[in-house]
Amino acid sequence: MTQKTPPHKAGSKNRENRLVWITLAIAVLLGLADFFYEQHGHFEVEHIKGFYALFGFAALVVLFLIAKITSPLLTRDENYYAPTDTVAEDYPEDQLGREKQDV
Amino acid sequence: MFEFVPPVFYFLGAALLLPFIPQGILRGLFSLAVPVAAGWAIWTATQGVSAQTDFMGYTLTLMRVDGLSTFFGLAFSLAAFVCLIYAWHIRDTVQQVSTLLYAGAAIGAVFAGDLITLFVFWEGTAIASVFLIWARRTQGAYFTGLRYLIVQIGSGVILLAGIVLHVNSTGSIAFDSMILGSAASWTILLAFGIKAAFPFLHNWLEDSYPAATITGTVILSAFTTKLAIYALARGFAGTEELLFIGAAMAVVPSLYAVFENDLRRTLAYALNAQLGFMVVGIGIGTELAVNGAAAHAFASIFYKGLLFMGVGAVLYRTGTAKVTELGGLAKSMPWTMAFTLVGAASIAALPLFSGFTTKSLILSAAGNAHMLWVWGALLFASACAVYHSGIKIIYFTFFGEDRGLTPKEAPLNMKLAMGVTAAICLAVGILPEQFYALLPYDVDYHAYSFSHVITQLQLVVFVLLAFLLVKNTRFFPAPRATVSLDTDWLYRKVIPYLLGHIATIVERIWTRWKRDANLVISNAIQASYRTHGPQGPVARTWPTGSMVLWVAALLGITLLLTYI
Amino acid sequence: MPLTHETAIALTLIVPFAGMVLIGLSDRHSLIRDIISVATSLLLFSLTFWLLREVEAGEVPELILFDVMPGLSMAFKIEPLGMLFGVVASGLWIVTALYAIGYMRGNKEAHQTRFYMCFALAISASMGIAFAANMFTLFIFYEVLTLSTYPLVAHKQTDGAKRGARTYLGILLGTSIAFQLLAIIWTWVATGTLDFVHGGILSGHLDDSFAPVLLGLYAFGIGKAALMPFHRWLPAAMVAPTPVSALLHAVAVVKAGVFTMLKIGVYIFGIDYLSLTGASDWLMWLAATSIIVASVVAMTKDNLKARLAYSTISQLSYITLAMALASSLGIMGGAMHIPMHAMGKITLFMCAGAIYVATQKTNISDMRGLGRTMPFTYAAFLIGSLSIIGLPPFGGAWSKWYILLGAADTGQLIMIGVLMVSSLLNVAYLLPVVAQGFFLPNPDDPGARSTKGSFRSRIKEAPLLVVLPPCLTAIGCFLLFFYAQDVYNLLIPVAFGPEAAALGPEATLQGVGSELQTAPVMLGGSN
Repeated sequence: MTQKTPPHKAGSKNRENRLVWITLAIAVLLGLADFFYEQHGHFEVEHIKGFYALFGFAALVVLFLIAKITSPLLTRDENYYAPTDTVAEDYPEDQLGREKQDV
Repeated sequence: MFEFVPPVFYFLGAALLLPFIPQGILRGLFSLAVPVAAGWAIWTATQGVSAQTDFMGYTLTLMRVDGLSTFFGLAFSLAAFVCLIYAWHIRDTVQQVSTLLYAGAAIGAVFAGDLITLFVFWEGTAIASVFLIWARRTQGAYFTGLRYLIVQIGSGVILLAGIVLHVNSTGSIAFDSMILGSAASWTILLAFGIKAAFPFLHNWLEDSYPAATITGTVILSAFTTKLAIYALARGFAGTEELLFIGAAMAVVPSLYAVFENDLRRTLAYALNAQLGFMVVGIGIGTELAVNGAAAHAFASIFYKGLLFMGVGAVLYRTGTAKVTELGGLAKSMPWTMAFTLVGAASIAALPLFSGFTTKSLILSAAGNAHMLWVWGALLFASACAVYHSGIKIIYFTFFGEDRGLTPKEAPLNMKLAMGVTAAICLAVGILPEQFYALLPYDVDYHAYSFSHVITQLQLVVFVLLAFLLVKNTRFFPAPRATVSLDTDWLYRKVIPYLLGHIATIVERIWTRWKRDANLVISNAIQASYRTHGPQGPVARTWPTGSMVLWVAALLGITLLLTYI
Repeated sequence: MPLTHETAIALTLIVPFAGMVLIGLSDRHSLIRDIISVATSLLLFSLTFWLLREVEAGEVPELILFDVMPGLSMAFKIEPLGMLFGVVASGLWIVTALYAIGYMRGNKEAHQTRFYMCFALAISASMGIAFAANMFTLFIFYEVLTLSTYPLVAHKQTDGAKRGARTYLGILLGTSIAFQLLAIIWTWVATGTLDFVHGGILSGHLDDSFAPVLLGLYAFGIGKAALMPFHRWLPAAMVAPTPVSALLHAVAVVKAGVFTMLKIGVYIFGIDYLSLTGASDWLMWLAATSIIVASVVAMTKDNLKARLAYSTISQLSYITLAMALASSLGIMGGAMHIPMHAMGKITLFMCAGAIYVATQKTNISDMRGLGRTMPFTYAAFLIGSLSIIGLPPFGGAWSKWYILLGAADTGQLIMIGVLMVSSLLNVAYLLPVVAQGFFLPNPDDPGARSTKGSFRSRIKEAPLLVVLPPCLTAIGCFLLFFYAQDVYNLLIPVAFGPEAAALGPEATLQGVGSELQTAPVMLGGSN
């Protein structure tokens, strides 16, 4: 994602930035909400303010990190299992309904 | 023959008739009528045991109607109905017949009151379903189908062995709750575990589902694994071992679902993780937990089916379901996107969607039992699911990098099927009280508390936030055009490699041994001829000598002939 | 004139023999010859069916031809196991006779008259084996069967056919003379009788430590049971025309082998004796090895008939294994496996022949995509395969069920494992044939990948008389699942002892079913 954004994708870039900000705003509001109601839960950790928020965020970051580290070990080229696998095959054209939009 | 015709026979009969009905509207309507009729029969069936028959000295029970079996029977009928709408455009008789047989066998297994009947339908699901993979008619699908079939039939023969041991030790063929401990119960659990995709027994699922036809994957995703969940709930509710198995199952596949490139395989991993929730529910074994497992199985059939339908529609129009080849379809396939969003929201357990009202049953049951680690694992898996089957599917298909694809919107029947399925997801999310009333046990549970809604929203939104923040950094594990190595690596690469070497060695030894043996035999014959033959020293006692000679000759000839 | 038992037994031997003579006389008129062949088979089946009814009613038909020496006679006595084999052989002969007509004509084979004559003689010999009252009579007919099938194997008269037939004759005659005859003489010397008696004749007459040796002589002497390492005749005989393969594998020859094996186990040794002395333990392990090794070899064969031949070797060892378990339930399973395997395997062979008639193809790798043009043949093949694998709702499931129960009953958990692995190996070598046929593109006809095109227009099946018989036996596989009860009832006296039969089938079934299944074991007296 370090390469320069081509002009026709600039719009989507802007939209994405907007999405990040909106998400951030909602996230902050939801996080603060924990201070304004009585928390229920079966475990003590659930009474920590913003537990679910932090847990969700941390869980995904941890997941991404593990995936990033392990994926070189656990992935191979698409032809690795060929021809006993469908990964490197095209889906049979006669079973598709490939149609373009009439614009 | 029976006072009440078991619904499985609706499907079997229809499968027999189907080839004689002309393709098109007539055949489509006919097959749609089957699950409707079956569902009605299940809905109106009286509780208790019926359709019994004495066979080979055993009393086989084809209909055991109680809360658990009725619930799964209804779920399967409904699933068959939406799958058949989705497959309306298919003109392949093989797929149509096997769909009916497969759904029928699954329903038959759910109502089986004894182990022999269960075994019959258990194998039935294996055989009927493989055609949905082979129907892709490519070499890869052929091999994948064979692997799938061997694993599935393997589950069946292990079940058979377990039943034989069970019958031998208890004398009973009844299929009831079992206590883990005897060889029989472990064997049966192993058989169930294969179909339920327990860790290390799971890989058939991720291997085969993406190899099936577009409609086949949707159909496959509904039945086999949920049948296994039913069987576990029936036989092993409250088995402590299932807690750890289920927790591991919920967490580990999530990892693969992150970097997997094929979206249908991503969903297969996600499905496997969802099964972990249900297995945990069964392991807890309280009425609330088993209710949760059943409810989540129901929800999972439909939201996972909906996601498979959405990705399938994309595949149908674009020819690919890979992250590296998709993107930016929001404009060209808006309906598909909307329906897939419902599925994604359901698996993310957003309030008003089905996952919210079903997953919480299991989490609450874990909480009630004070199982902190199990609960933590499930919560972690929930967070992961928000990403891999919610955000990942939606983002990389409909947004993300625009690849210049402008396919037409999905065909009407697919939209219709997705619409109905989305409505089911919403109904379960919006009307939990009515849905809970259908569950196997009567449990007083309220999903919509303020606390629950807020915490769940926090979880989802912060996962989304984490994704958006990490996405453009180098820490993001973006899917690349690869295949993932899973346990199937063992039997697809390592074992064949070893076997090849062993075979060469054995062959070499064999050839040498054969040559030496022939030499030894002919030497022995010659030697015996020298000593026992007409000129030999033993010739003085002629009759004995000749007899030994002839016996030796006869044996020699026999041996030689054997190895010519 | 009412039919007496004696006449009926004599007729079962005479009818196929007379058929042979008539076939020989009508050499010039192929149509008449073929009609005689089928008519004879129908007549024979009605005779055996009548006898079956008698046996089911508890009668024991007997016929003593002549005494060879005191205590040893050429005699026939029908007990349920022999009755079962008789019905299987004569019933499947009808199908095979029909199929042979289509096949021999479709392939324009030479010397058809000689072929049908030997065929009829072989059936006559099978009847003799089935109904033999003692080991001596059985042995005589066993050898007649070997000799009468030799010209069938060598039918094509090519060098390859002659070589195959030589191996066939060499191993079958060699083992039967070197081992089986020796075993029979030993038995005679030890006991002074060769009669088949339920519970065996050896108990008390033979030193226990010699029992495994004598059993070994029998087991290897019955070369027709194709126990490894004396199995090579079966693949060697693959050079024969397909109806002969069907005869060898399903109707007569191998079934005569395993039938004799069961006879030895139940009526010469007796399962109690085997189980007390443990004489058959080694045989069980050998049979298990045979099951697995033959299945693995089958996977490596590309020639369809060779693959099926190794499959037969494996399946026959199921029956030997069942006998060697020395348990009533095992015997039940082994005996049930005779009709179940026969029906499945004959279907597979006739399908292989149908493919050969229609396309002249023998290698599996060349058969890709053929299912589209030959859907009925391939559907029959699928059903036959499922029955051989032992899946419901096909007959093979029940025989496997009882063999497994027998293994569990004797605590042989490893044998259960062997049978499970074998099932999976069966899947691995049988179902690829079907899957390739239906779902892979035909290399000769790559355009025909899709499912489009009208069903009728794309069918290129073999002639009707070649396709119909395997379809009928495929239906038979299905029906056997539901009629297994009758087979079971018939076999109760064999597996559980004549006392169990006196109590009526319900007693045994009750025992096996709902109550603890020790009841039949007690009745049978084992354990």
